Amino acid sequence: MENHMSPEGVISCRSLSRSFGEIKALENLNLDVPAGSVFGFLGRNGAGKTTTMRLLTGLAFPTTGRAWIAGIETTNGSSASRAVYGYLPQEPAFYGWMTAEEFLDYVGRIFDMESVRKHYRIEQVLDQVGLAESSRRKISGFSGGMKQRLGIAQAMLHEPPVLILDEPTSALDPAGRSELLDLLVELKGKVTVFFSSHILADVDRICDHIAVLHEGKLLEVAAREDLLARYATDAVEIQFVDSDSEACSTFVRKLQQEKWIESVVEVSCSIRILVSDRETAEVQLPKLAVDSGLLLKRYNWVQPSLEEVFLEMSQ
Amino acid sequence: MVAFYTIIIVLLTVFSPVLAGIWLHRRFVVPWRIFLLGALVFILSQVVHIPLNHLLEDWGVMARQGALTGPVLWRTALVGGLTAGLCEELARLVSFIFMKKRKIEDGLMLGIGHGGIESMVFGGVLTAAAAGALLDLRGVDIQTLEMTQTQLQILELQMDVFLNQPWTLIFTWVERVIAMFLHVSLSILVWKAVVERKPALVLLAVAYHMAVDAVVIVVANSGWVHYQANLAFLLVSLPLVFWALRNWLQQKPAVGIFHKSSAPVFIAAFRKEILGQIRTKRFLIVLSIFAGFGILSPLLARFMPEIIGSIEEARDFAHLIPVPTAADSYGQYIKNLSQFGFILVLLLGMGAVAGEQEHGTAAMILSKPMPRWIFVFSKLLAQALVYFTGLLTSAVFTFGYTWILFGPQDAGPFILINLLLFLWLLTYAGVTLAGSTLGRTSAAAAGFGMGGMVLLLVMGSIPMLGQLAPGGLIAWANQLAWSGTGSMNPGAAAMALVLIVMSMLGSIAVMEKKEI
Repeated sequence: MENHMSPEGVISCRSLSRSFGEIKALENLNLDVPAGSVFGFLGRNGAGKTTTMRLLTGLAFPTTGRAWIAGIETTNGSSASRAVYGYLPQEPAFYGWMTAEEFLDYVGRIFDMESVRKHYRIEQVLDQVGLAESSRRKISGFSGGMKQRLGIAQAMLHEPPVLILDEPTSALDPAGRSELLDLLVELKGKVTVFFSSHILADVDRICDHIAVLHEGKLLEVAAREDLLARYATDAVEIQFVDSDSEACSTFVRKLQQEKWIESVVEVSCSIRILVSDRETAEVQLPKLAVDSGLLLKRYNWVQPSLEEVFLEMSQ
Repeated sequence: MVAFYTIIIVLLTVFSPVLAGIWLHRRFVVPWRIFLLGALVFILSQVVHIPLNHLLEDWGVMARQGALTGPVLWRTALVGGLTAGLCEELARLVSFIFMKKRKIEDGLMLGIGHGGIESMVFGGVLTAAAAGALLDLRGVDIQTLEMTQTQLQILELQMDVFLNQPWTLIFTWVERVIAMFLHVSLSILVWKAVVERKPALVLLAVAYHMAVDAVVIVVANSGWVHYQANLAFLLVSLPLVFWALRNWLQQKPAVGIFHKSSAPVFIAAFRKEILGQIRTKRFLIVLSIFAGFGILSPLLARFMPEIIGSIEEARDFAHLIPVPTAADSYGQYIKNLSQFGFILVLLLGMGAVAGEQEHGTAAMILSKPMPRWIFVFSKLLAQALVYFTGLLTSAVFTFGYTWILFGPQDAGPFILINLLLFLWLLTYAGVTLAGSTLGRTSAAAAGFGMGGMVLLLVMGSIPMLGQLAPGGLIAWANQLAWSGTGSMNPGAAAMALVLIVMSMLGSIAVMEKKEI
């Protein structure tokens, strides 16, 4: 077996592609996931997120390219790499005749966990995902949300350095989602979490790195702040305390005479200004606002939401 | 002792290629499908080779089997060697041409598969079949057989060696091991010809194959004893084996994999399978069905005249039914289990892998450090345990009731009957499991499993091959039931073992390539 200690990522893909006949589900993916990050993998339905995860976990085989997790190749058919990550499939399935505790015991045995540690971890993860009281119930009686929680528990059981989670919050209620996201935030820095989602609010809340996949192609990969800054629009929102429409109108007219301003929209003394020369605007706008004699309530450059960035990229 | 050595030889010839394949698979991640491809190369080459030899015999180019001497021997040896070399090496060449990745370890695995199936069939199945035939001739005056004097002399010699020195059977295995090394070496030679685009190496492989086979044929007809023959075979093979070894050492991958022991994972998987069989009530169902047949078979046999007599329309014929015996009880037992066991195996096995894939549990488990071979093999082993327990329960009931209804019985033949039924059930379980890995749904898997079973039934009607089919086990069991001894068919038992092993390897090869 050939190992590849990637200098950049704890998860690495090189020219990873997968085709189904004419359809290219994933095209030439090159990706490095930094160690200890919470990495959000975004994409519309059918973008190739699940295909990527299946290729990473060895459940599917690439048409071309290779992938590594923690330096161990996962695309060569060997099961050697599977001890270093925990994986939650999009639709976790279990043996209905087992109890939650029995399933985790089985998983612990597959990972050859030492008995005392295994029992300790089973109790711990069941508690973490809120299934402690249902641990001896048959899984066949579990709701979708409970199965999702058990899926997360089995992925974390052996304390892997990498967690690969495919839509982990999709079947959870709002409280469950919030608890899971808190849990993942707690893992930040200790465990690398690679998770796909189309719930942008979740990704926005916990991810420090984001990759956007669209129609099998990687459109963007960056630290969250860098990504938002890159897609920041040159727009400013100004709001005044007074609602003196006459003074506001005078201010708007003044602005419209400036060459570095593209457009001005005013509604009830709340003004949105789009500038063509940001540097000049950053100097001139505060001065003009003060000169207008109106009392400033809010002045800020508009930061796009992750949703806006995502929609813009994937259009 | 004869039975003991025959069993040992069958086990050695069947499992030594498998062990070689396991080593290569674990050490260098060579897929099992290359092993199967090697086996297929051998089988397909024989589809051409055997009729070609018959044709050449009809034309008088080669002599038919028998004691050959002089120029006829040399001509037969050289032509026989040439046809073997052409058919087998060209088949190997075609397989390498169509192989996507051609690493040296693939060449090695192809040779192991090729030599492996040859070892299983020629070393295991045919040795067992020959042992059965020779054992049947014990106490028979062979002079009464319709044979030429030369054939009778050869047969007498074979029987003498076989019955008085059964340990010499070990040379069959030694010969197969040398043959495996030779096939691996020839495989590397043809691999090199394809990779380095040197057609002359293919001609060299054909020539070498011809030379070795010719020597073996000449030696076999020269009255040399087994160890001398093996020594000659070894000496003529060694130069190529050393050449192949040198190439392997120069080109093998620098880093091999050293796996942790698979034992804990295997135990975990097997334990889960058994628990699953118990919790889903399958175990109980199998046990109930087998117990039912175990009780019913002797009762039906014993009270059949009374049952017929109680039917008004059939009362006149009741006296025509012979007085039932223990043989009727055992015969009924074999009939019931072979008819319903077939369906039971299909129903229990069809969803074993396909069902898990359909429900998504396979993806959950196979994304963990669970080797796919363990995932499949643990299922067959768990099924084997369930069938064994069911059969044991059934056997205890049948034997007990037969004892009560027909008087004391000798347990020996009945134990052998049950071992044969167990092997028969396992053969079908292996084929069904292979079907289950091929299908993506339980329904598709049932179709594949049924198809495989039909193929085995068809195999039973092919001349020569038919008696080695799984049906031969049932025929043997029936003979034991009716006569207590009868004609043995260890060839069918060895073939069943080969079918189980190859079904298992086929299932693993499919699983390795399967997307979950």
